[in-house]
Amino acid sequence: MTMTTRAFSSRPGATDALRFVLNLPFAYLGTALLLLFAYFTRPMLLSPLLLLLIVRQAAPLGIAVIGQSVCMRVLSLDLSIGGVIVAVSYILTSGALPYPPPVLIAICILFGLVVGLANAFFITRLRASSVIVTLAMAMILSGVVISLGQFYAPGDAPEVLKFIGQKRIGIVPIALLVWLALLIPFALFLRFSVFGRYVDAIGSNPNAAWVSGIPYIRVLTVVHVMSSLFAVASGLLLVGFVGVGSMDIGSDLALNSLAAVILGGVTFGSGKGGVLGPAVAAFMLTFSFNLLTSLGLGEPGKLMLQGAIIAVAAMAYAVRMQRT
Amino acid sequence: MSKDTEQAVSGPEKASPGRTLVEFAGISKRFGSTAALTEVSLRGGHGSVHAVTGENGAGKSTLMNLLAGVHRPDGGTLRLRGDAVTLGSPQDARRHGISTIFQELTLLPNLTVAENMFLGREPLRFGLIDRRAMRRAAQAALDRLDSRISPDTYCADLSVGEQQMVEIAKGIAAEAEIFILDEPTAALNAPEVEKLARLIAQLRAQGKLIFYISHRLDEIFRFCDVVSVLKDGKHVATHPTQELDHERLVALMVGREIGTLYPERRPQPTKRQPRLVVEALAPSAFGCAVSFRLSVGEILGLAGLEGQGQRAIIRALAGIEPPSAGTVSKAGRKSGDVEHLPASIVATARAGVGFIPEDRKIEGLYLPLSIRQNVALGMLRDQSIWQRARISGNAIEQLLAKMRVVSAGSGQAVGALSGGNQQKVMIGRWLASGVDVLLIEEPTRGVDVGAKAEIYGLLREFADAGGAVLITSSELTEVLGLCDRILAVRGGALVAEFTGTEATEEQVMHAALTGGIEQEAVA
Repeated sequence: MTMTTRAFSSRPGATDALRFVLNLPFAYLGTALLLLFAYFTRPMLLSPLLLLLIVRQAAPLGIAVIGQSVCMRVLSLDLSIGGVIVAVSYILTSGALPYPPPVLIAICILFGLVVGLANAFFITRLRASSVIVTLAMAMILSGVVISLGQFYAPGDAPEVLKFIGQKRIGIVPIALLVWLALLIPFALFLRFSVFGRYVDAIGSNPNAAWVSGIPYIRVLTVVHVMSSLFAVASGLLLVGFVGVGSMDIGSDLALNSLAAVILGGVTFGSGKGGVLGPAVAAFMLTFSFNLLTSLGLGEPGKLMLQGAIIAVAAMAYAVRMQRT
Repeated sequence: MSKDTEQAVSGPEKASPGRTLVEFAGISKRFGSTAALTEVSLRGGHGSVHAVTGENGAGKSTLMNLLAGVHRPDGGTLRLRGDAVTLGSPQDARRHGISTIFQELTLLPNLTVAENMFLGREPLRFGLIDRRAMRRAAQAALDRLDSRISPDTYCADLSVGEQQMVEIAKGIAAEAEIFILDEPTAALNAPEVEKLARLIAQLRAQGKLIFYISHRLDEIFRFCDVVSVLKDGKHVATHPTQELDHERLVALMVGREIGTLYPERRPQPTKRQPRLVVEALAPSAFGCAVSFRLSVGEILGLAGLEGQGQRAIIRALAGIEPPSAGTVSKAGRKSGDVEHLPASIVATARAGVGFIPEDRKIEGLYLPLSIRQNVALGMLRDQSIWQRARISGNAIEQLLAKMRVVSAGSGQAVGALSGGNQQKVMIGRWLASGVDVLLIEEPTRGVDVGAKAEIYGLLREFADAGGAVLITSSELTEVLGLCDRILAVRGGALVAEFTGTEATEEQVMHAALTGGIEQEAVA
């Protein structure tokens, strides 16, 4: 017998329609539309060889997206992905650490672990906003790398990574195999483990998860560590793909991963969402960037598209907040 | 019924005090299968402060919501100034001169006082809002209450007491004749209560009718001329407050037998094994430390008025709001197996103590998830996050059948269930988890009578099977009917202990109100 009346109620019609559209995993429809569009305007993009090249190009984003999607399912965010990738590229290519590639890769993984733990610490223990914490982390990491760049400039990527990033077996790029090798086991883990159940629970009601004794802090810590480790993996692949390190490598990966997760049907706070949707969305984004380039709209078109996607994401967020 | 007032009559009304303004004639209201009100008849006249009281769930808020246009009665007639009316909406009620000040204040914090007061009925000039006229009218209404609040203040900057003042001024500005105050002192400090007392006196002097909903006895005697008591949705009595004292009023409020709603208690063994031993536990919100035992097979109740510390105690015990001091030890099923509980919710849950919160929508359930997923989460309690989730689908289905959860199947989202079924799912999650202690806040809030009986049965069964249950409840009848032992809480301290079978509502109410059993209630 509590009061539920409010002086205002939002207009239902408009938001309902918007909500319905936003609740569809847009990536499937979007990819289909894009392929159709390409068929009529730039059919050469649809040749199997070119498609596989685009898939190879999408792999680093696709791997970063795995971590980002789990972050968002527990109502967190990871914007430090770009910073992690720049740092990884620097460790691997600058020669500042005079070790063989396998050791450097191990250092990168350790580094990802530390970044993930630091993110998680500030978010769970100090209750800081995940946006602020991870954005600050990205900025600090980029800053450190730029200042170190005066002493050792980033250079050539290790051969082993170039091999993984650029070569293929038959016509299948190795990068795609790496992507699948990370994606499929992780999807199974999320589906069947206690951890995956807790991710659903926290995503759908963090208060209830806390009050019912779910190890909330632990789950969030693991999520952020995972996200940083996926970022490291993404960085390894990207450095190999590009062949050289640089100061702004992977800088738009954080925002693109955000966009891909949202296009892939993971909405804030629903506790729902698969791993496949975001993966398809990673391909869709990469494909659309290629399409824009072939239409002569390369960089400006890319910026506009990214902006539009993030605006839609913000609206999706606002609609969800109204509902709760 | 004319009364001397300290304040001068400043309003223009020339209403003769006592003339009937509102009449409820045989009003009934049902929610689903629950009768919230049954043929309630009462009247309120000009220039009087009319208390409506009763235990939680007695129907007082429902009755007032009918007058406020929130609900419509299923039977009976509502008369205003002698004419039968139908109030279709809160706006409708407002047009009929009824102003409601709800417990949760409804002012918009980002608007000014004047904007809030005229929200939705702004004075217009050439189709635009006439801010000057609005400001002037707001100021006039505030002046009539001798308030110093400026109409240009943003409501976010007002204290709760001031916001209440603005809500009342809003009613004045709308020329309301009937004011409904729902538990108005709940969030006020002492000086603000004084101010409210003066406001009420002013409204009465202006010939308004004030319905004052409260179960705080001293306020009823202090502010009100007449008191109507509701119980289980029925009108028990209406008396001038001068003719009553605390004891008679309490007797009117609680006077009924407890029927077969409650499961039978097992005969009490003289010595029971303790399951939880609580020593000098000091919830951080209250200064007092409490010590008590919760025994195997027992349902223990913390009773008292709302906000007296029951919630703080049970939450400190669960580890949600870690206590500032004290220890809790838990005996396992094997004797001699004692474990100290650290003050963390994750650790208490692991140790076999389940906590069921009062607000199932915010803190209890995962509304978008299915019934099955909700219950399954309980089964994961003692599993590691890395392992494959071990969930028995059969056990879930059996549990749901046993609990008689009514749904379209266990795949249905919990958010779509009725209150009683949601409550069952929330309890079911903990029954499935294998804990042996349940800490439950308000086990049956917002639950219909049928589901109530079933929930009581489940809790009794859990206790009989070797579990231990601690509940807090603001429904005295529930505590008395269900619990083996009752601890009365007042001001964060345990003030009295009763055996469930021997306690009477009067005794517990006295202890909760005054802090002692022997003491006479102080007026």
